[in-house]
Amino acid sequence: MSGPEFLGFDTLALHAGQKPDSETRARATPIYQSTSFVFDDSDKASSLFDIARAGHVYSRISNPTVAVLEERVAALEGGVGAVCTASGMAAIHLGLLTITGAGGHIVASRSLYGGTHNLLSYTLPRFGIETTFVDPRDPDAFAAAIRPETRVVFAETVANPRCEVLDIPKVSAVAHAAGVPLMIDATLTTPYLMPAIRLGADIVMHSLTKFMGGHGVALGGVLVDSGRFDWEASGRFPEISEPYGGFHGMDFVEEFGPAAYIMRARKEGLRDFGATLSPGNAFHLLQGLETLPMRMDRHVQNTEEIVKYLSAHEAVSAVHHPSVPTHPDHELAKILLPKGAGAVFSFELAGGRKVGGAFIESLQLFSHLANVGDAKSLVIHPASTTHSRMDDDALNAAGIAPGLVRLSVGLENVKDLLADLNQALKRAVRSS
Amino acid sequence: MIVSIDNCDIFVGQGGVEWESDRRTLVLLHGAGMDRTVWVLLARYFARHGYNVVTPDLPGHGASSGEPLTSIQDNARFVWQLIAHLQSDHKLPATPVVLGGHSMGALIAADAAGQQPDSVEHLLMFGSGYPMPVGQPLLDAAQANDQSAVDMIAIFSHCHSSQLGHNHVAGISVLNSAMALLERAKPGVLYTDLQACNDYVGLAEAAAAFGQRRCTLIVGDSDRMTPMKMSRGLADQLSAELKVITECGHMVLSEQPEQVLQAAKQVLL
Repeated sequence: MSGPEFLGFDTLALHAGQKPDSETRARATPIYQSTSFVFDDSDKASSLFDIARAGHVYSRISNPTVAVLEERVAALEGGVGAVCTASGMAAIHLGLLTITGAGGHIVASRSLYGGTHNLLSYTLPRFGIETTFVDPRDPDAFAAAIRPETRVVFAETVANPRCEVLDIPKVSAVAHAAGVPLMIDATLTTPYLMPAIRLGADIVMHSLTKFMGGHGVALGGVLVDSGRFDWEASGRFPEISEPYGGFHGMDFVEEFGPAAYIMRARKEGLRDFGATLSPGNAFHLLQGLETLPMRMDRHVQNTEEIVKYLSAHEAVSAVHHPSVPTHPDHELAKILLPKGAGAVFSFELAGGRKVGGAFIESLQLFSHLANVGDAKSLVIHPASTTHSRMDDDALNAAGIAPGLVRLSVGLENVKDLLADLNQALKRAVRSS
Repeated sequence: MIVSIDNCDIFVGQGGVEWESDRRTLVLLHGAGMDRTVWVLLARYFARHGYNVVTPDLPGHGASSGEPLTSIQDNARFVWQLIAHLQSDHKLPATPVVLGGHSMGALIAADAAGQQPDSVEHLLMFGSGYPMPVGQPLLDAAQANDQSAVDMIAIFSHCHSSQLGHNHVAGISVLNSAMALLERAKPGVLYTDLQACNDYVGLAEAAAAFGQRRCTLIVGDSDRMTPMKMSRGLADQLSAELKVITECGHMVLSEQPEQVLQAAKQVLL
């Protein structure tokens, strides 16, 4: 050892944010299933409301179990702080609405999770917030779309189903040159595969429901503040860098410096929007988070074997995963995602919609459902499920081939997964 | 508020409460490479408990313009210049102040107390020691504006328990917050501050001038930046009462805010 070193990622995944309970000495994080917390005296009560002392008041704003999860994710991401939410979509909503409002504008990647796309395309415009969508592989397009009223640039680390890899250093440079923060959905990569903040992201959010929790038992989301964006120098964010009537005239930058954004997200956003994570869900998510490094290694290992198998199969016309040498982001992924480009990807069956449907129905280990990031392997065929009302031309226009299948590779023995894929492909081919 | 001192814009925090004429004054000085935000909880608390709170960003730090001052004594002279300006032009009462500081800020406060002993009703120091030698590897890294300087300070300034977390402020990482704050310092600021700490030899003179006036030093039991031996050196010279915060490193304000508040309340209320 040449000098002092930070605690390792694996250690933080197990310990960050928690000490054995002071009263009971419980080693695991207790579930503090309480809506509210008793004030020691009236001075403590008023001080908590004045943010002059630390502590919990009401579980919509903060809760001891949830706080462990928040601090743990902040530690893993390298952020100054985090706020947990009821779902990933709640985290996106809180993240955006903390710094945008009527008249505001967002520049977003056009390759986004469908729920996010709906929020930006249909819901936020009803509240006066517009979004311009751009090609995530074109940093210049992000630059060209930024306007004086732009408040945030938003994109995913790796999009699904085609696995576009965001060049975070380049896109963050574009955003920062315009005085705008970069907010990243890092759900599919987790901080284990890609350190988004270290690469230049200012705000990171996750659907904890996916790989972070990893077991498909609890919904949750989290918003992480890097603490590196200069809200005051930007000049675009008076609600953070000037006295704010919505919180006793507080100037969040003046009081909290690097933690201004995340403090405002909690003190205003959780207070007013109320999309709080329950302590029970936080407990379940913490159990999953403890094994994140080991799980992600196995997810990636299984995925890469399956990608190789599918790439060589005659019934498969294309595999969209950055580990494939012909993938447009293959070289970029080697730099930004050295541990692997994740376990959610898609491939195309040569026979189109009918073969795709037959393939899905023939699978035995893969579960046919609308989720990703579970310990168990999952599959969905957009043309026969989420996009079944679209004809082939409309599907192609949306970038979804009729025979496109999305996999979320789990932790099973990869030989069993390959055998399942093999038998399903044989049946699918026979069906055509 | 922002005030002008020697053509520099100096940011002065007030703990969120305007000053009033019938209150005592509490001046709190931040440490090397940092700014007034380290005081947020204490400042907001005492601003609501009878004090006019003054938390400046020293020249070149935080939201203040200018260059960092190169010696502890120059910083101490600046503090009196600032207080005089606030008393003459900004309705800060012209009465003796409680003068406090963290780490480098504590040395500045101590030296300032020696410069104008009758203007100080209590010297209140946090996480500090004397002498305050700074290791050459850290000085070299700071001089090169290298990230390793921030890393070294972050690791050595937080006790093991704090590096794991379980912060009192929900969802906040004290370690990463300290790093983000240090990374915001303009190039050269951290080095200038650390060099000033390393070079400071004026405590005996300041202590002699300050005499037996009231003085308190609040330190962490696991401080590796200014270990207990140095803290005792500082406390002994100033005849300070030494209060020890448990399970705590150098960043007493963020690592154990409740213990620190209780200790400060014993002094101030």
